[in-house]
Amino acid sequence: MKTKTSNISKTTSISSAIAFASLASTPVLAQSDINISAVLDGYYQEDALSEGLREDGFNLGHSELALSAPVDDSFYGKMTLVVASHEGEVELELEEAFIQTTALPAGFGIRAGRMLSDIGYLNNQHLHTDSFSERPIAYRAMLGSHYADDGIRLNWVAPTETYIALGAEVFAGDALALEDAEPNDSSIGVSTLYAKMGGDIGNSNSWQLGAAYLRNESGQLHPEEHHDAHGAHDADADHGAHGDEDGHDDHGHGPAYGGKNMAIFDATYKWAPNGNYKYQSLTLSAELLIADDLYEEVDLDEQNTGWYVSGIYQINPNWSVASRYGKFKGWSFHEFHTEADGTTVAEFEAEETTNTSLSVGWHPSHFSVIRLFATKEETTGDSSSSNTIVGIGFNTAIGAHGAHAY
Amino acid sequence: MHTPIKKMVLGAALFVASATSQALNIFACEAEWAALAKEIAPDASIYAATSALQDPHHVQARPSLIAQFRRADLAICSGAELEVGWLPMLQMKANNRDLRTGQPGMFFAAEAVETLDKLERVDRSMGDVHAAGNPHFHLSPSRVELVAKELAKRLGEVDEENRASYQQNLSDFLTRWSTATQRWEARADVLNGNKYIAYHSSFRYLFDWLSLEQVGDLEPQPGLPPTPAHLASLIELSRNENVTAIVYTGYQDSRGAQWLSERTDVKESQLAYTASEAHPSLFDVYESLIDELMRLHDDK
Repeated sequence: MKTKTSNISKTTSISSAIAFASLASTPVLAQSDINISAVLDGYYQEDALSEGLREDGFNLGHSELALSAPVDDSFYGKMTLVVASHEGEVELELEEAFIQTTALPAGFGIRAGRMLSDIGYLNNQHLHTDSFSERPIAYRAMLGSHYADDGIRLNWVAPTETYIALGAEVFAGDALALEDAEPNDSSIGVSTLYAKMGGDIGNSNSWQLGAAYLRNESGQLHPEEHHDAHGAHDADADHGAHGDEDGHDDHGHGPAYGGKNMAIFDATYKWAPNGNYKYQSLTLSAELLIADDLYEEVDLDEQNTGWYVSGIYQINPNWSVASRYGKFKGWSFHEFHTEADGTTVAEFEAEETTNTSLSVGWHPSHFSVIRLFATKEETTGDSSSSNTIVGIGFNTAIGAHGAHAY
Repeated sequence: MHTPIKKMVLGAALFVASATSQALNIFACEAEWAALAKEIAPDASIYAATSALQDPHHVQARPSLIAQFRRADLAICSGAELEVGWLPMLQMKANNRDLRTGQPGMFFAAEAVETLDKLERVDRSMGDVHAAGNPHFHLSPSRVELVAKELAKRLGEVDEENRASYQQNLSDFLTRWSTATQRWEARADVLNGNKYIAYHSSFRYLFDWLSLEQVGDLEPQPGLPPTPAHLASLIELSRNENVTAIVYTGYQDSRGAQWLSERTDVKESQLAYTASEAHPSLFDVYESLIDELMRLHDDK
């Protein structure tokens, strides 16, 4: 490789200095270009995880096409289309279509349209940035893997050295309406409040903590309507047929489990030697989701709870390993039962699912990864089972290099 | 009876005084721009988002950076897509309208200079290259001068009250910078035509300035880490070309350079790339660079 010497060396003439200075005041067109990016995602796996998005065999994963750009001086806009295969059919889903204010004073921001809710740590991150084939079981069971909906968000960032951000969102709620819930005619189906804070510890460590509250108007079930269903698994089994019947797009339906009130707590820690993410880094994160008020009309003093801890280690630019352990315990209505004294009692049963995941990624560059993944899924409750899902997939990004969230 | 009112007035006056004298907050994406900002706005509170040990291509848009970006009155970043993986995330999350792209407070230094190696056509099979050209231009004295001028202008727009003092600091800096540049050029004259193997195109502008030549790159492609096969090919190159040294920055892995050095008897050296505790000002960085290049030249 020969390095060419340019004519601007050693001495700069005054005239060229002036020419460059005047150049500086003209707007740079490159900044106003539209960013177009696509994520190509495909995989092969044996079997499928419960409540997951991925299916047995060869499939198209969460492939995306995203367009984004400043709309004008006051707004930024983004649209993300997701193409995924589901039951052998290619489905198109509009994951995001929002505008975001950029010119509000005093640290305020408003986002409106279809967006990923900013609750929890993982939810606002795109699926293609994950190091695992599926979201944690807690997210799959309680948030439908990732919660995107139509609505509006107001958030505020404090002018402090420690990062503090507060937000409130209201959504239509359709995407989080439980699969078996009664249709709700409220125009605001879901509302959330959240707070995040974070900072650095020395040069090498950084952290973030978050807490969120979510109210879901369609998060409660009626015990009498579920006489036949042992929760989500039965519902899931006839998912396809049901979808075909009413010609309705099944993908993106609400989660199997919920609750009227949900709390989410998350903690994330990242490390890189001297804060240099070029070669090695470690990300540890944990989240806890608790949902209460699961059923209408009956007094069930139990919560659906899910949690996970995960660690992702980038060994060098070419290799990463990730492991995750997660549990979810969900309550389902079983039957009405008449006591000796004649009172009717609703009986519920709990099912607990444990996922232990491991994945190894090979990264030929910053823009491509080929991943081997395995998850052992164990279920205990009414029936107990154990299953191991293994697979291989690729995930690549083309087009504009999008910035990554923390 | 008069005392409380007097106190209140005095208190209000103090409050106003403290508000106006409140330091300007400057967010520098890279340590070199923090050092330059220190020259032009010595009283400002300056935050460097990356250190000399961190690769500015790979920065996490972490909470502390969002918080600092939220507080800043002016941000200075290299631009030319160097920070494309993290700066847009800070802009999106910090809700700071003064640092929108296009505002006087958001200063991309690349807009003030002509970059080298602009590309007509870019695709990723070429590695992590940018159409906007090489963004590591703080090792070009003439470009630092242009950036300093534009920075002083922007500071004057953001903080009109102190416009005159920024211009004064600028002219003081430019005088010292030009004297130092002449001295460095005189010292480095003997290096003219020397050949180097470097990690990435990090020293592109240094080589261009002093008429040095980069004959090899430890990276097989821009942004990709050195591979054994590629390093082996550099052994041959070192034999054919008369290479003075193998050089890299504080945030690049030294192992590839060491491996090659051991097999070729060409010296390897970590050069000062940007401002750090050891070299707090840009003058210190350049001084150290010339010292080290001279040492490598004399030792050969």
